[in-house]
Amino acid sequence: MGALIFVVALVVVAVVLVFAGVKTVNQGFNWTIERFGKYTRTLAPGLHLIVPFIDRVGRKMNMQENVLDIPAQKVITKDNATVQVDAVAFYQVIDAARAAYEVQNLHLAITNLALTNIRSVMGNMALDEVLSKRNEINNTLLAVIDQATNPWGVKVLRIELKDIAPPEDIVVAMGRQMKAEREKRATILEAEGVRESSIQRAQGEKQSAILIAEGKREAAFREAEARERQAEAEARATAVVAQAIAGNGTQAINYFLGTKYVEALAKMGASNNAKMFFLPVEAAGVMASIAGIGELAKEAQARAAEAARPRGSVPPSG
Amino acid sequence: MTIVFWYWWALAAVLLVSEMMLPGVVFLFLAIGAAACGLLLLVAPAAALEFQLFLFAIVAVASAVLLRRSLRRLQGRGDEALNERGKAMIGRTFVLDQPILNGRGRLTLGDGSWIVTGPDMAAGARVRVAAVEGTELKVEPAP
Repeated sequence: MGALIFVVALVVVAVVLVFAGVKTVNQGFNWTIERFGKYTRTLAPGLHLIVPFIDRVGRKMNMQENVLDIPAQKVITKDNATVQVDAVAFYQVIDAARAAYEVQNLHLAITNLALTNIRSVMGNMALDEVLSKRNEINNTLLAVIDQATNPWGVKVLRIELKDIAPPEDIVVAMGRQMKAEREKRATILEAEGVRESSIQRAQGEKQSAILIAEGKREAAFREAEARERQAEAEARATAVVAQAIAGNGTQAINYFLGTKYVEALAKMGASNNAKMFFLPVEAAGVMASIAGIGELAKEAQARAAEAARPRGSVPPSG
Repeated sequence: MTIVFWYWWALAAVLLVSEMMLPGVVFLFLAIGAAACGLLLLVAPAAALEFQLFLFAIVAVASAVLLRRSLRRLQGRGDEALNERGKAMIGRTFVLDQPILNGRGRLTLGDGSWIVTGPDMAAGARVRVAAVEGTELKVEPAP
């Protein structure tokens, strides 16, 4: 009977031994082993045998990449604007033992590290920089936080600022600024257009004025030329008349005067509103000059006859 | 009630089912112990109950110790770099973007930057990752 009790106890011990000694670590986890409470080794994924009663599984660390939401917080920038910022961090436990024993609450530690570093990095920047240099901020945060978490056997792989929200009134002001800048540009462009067009118009007017003046100048030149030519022609005509006078005496003059008189009388007669007109006192002179024309014709006839005779040809007719 | 070998084999079967249903490789060894007892009864049906239980206890523990190596071989090597970001870097060559001073420096790889340890080198030197210690990469000058 005693032997049976002992053997049953032995079976119980064996079962407990198997349960305590055989450890299967799943992929994605690392288990730390403590011998009498002190860390001795880390179990990688797979089947393991530990010494029961002496060794004990300490922490079961998740070795997968982990996402950590950094809660929103208010940050005061260098130019005293208050912005609301939240972020997301990705980290992975690289060294299970250090992550298990070097830091008490890993999540809380990384979260607080990120919060304070976001404040210090963004506090060093003006609002405009904060809004436009996200990538730079992310990189700075990553470098600082990764360095700080290194002793914990944790690698921070990525930190991203999720949302940067300036206060409502600043957003409105930024919108107004943007609008004003666009309007300024539009106004400048418009003014430039007006300037350009008035310059073009003035240039056109100048050009046309120059052309008109040139035209006038040319016309004047030509007119002067014409007058010169006319004067020349008159001079020549006068010369011819003078020659004629020198040749035929007063009768030639009388011819000219006579034709003019007759022309003037014809004009007076053609006038339709005055049928009564006065003849100058010397009207008789007109008749005399007409008679002179007759004399002239006779003289010319005589001269022609004289010219024709020596050749002995047919006498000139009428 | 006399115990026949079937009883032990039935227990072994139950334990095997438990092994499949429950996490961890624990019941497998108990099942081996039970199967061994069944085998014993098959050979020597008159064995005492005490001896059977003793055998069960011894075989269960011994199988756990002895089979560990062969089972480990069975689980294969798999992807050693899975979940081990550092191990994936071993053997690869990189260009230092910061010098290694006093045996320590930093190297930007992909998204993150790693602490590198090794002989002092200027930035721009080509290095090969020789080993990984926690979050630090041990590097040596690349040929």
